[in-house]
Amino acid sequence: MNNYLIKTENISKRYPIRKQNARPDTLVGTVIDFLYKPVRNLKELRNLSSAQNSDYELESYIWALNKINLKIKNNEKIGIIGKNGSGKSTLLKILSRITKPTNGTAIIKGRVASLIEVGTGFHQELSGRENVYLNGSILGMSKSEIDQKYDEIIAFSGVAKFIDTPIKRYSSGMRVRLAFSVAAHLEPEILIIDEVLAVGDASFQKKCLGKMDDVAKSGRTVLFVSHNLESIISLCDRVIWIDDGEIKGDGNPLQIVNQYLETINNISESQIDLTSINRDTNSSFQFSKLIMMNQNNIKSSSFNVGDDLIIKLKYSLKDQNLLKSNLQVKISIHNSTQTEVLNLNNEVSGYIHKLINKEGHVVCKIPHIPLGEGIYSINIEAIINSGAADVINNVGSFEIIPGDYFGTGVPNNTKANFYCISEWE
Amino acid sequence: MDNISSKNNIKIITPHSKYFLNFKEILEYKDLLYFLILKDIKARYAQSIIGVGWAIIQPLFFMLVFTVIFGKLVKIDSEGIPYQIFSFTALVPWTFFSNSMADSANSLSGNLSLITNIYIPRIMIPLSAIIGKFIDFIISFMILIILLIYYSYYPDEKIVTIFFYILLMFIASLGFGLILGTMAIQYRDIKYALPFGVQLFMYATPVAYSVNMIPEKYQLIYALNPMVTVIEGFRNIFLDTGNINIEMTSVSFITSSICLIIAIIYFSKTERIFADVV
Repeated sequence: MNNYLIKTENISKRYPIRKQNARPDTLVGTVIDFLYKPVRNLKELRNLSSAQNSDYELESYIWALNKINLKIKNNEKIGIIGKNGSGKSTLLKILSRITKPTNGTAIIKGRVASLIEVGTGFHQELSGRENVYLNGSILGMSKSEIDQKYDEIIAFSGVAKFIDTPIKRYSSGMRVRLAFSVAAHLEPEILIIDEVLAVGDASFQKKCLGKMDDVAKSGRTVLFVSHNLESIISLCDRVIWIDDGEIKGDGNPLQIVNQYLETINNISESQIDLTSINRDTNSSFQFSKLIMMNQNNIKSSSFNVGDDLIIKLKYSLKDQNLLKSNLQVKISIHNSTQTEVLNLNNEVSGYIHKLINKEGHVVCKIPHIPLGEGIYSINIEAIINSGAADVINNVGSFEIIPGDYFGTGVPNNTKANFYCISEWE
Repeated sequence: MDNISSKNNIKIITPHSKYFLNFKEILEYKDLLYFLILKDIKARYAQSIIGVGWAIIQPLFFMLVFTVIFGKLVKIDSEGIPYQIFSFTALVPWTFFSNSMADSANSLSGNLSLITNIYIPRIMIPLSAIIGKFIDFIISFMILIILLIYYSYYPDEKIVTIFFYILLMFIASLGFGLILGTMAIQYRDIKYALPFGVQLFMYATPVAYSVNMIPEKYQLIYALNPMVTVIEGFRNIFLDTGNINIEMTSVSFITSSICLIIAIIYFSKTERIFADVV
């Protein structure tokens, strides 16, 4: 007899990627393009379902999960870590039966409850009480089970006074507290949680972490996705690190978290060649080089707080048809715990970039970088004609070291995440 | 320690899906169905002055409009029966059918968080939408009874057959609603086509006119629309008109049953990719 509660064999999941289309540059071309649009739409929509048939050949797709083999025993508390888009949530969704794998099988023994979102199915017009029953039954509790725990749920939530008021009149904090209280009183054999603790105020978060600790100690199996690495280390006894749809590490929490941190916190070179990076998107447009510079045009990947950060992205265009299209570039900057701190976009900033030549570059300058000390990573994305043309996550990283943000010469040794000008009288 | 419950609870996740509904699982989630229906009913008329009165207003206004246009102006033959009661008897089942079909067709794409964030037997979503509409049907049905008494129509022992027509009405709206709802998840065009599709459907149904106006040789084809038989049944029971045509009834019953079975198979086969195609 094997004692695995969850066992997966070569679980894979693929998703289609939307291709960018050449924009026609003649009137006739535009008319044909317009008439052809429904056909293209149909094909695109059909690809969504065809992608799940592994025999079907797709033009562009991504393996969100690639041959995941896992064995999870009874009582294990497992933390799952990885970058955004690494496939963590897809894995949880497959194990919660929300979506099916494209390939592979999984065997699960025991009742599973999953919390992908807090308050799934909450209805604004219903009262708190009615929502407790609705949400509870959606999470898989029976009416008698909810009856039994009802008083406890309400007491834990702290919204007893408003329990007969429609929840549209609740503050968002109250709603989250009520929703989490229902979830916290689930008693499945396997509990799957996806980053739901990111909501609610700090004191309630603490209460929830405590409750989760109780759940974990009461002998249930917990799978827990979080970007909060500290709570992963304190709650879990095993950590699985997923990157690009594959398991990169599996074992002791501290060890795996450290391995993970090493890869994301290495400061990269100031000039990075991007032509050799493997991409899932097709190659009609590609970023070819990323260069980081300071205000003196000196290449660097280490900046003082308050320096100018200049990111220069060179690109090459393989598809002539894309000429004259507008290029939209998104640069997103994440801190060391993978929280997005900045999201920059040329069009939102009022700069339209037309693709004129086969080679070109875009420059993004952040004057007086206001980020606090730490290591940051950069994701870049190119969008042409509303389609993703090139996406590279974690393309490079830089370090922010103390500096004279305010230009006053007064040293400022804070651990704050951000700096900004303040006016004093 | 979890051996006993674990043995009963082994789930195997594969890329494929079943061809038919998992009734055991539906039974496990029966409380959910109850709360979803309750939500549907309570939420529908929340913060409204007339509330559930809207269930009556819709068929009542159609009756008034039809009476003026088709009864008085066009003078459609209503087989000697006051036109208002002639049309209202048809409007009660028709209103249920059109509303519940439209509701269940929109229910899946309108409850995306229930599909992408949690696993529940998804059949619950369109099913609860249809059952929720049944309350409206009962209320307008009571108005029908009052009108019948007012116009001195008293049904005889035929009244027991009403359950057959209500069942047929259910099968038809679930079948159509399920097929459309499953398609609407991937192709939102259904959402836009639905309102006018329902209107067209009404003209293919003897709501404003009598089934006798359709030439006899076309009547079996006409009966492919199950609501033809349902409405004829209602009129026959309450107004003693429209002879029950066994052939037409069989055609309606068989086609709508086949339609429901196809709907369930299509739904079951497609359910596995719901979260991927939304």
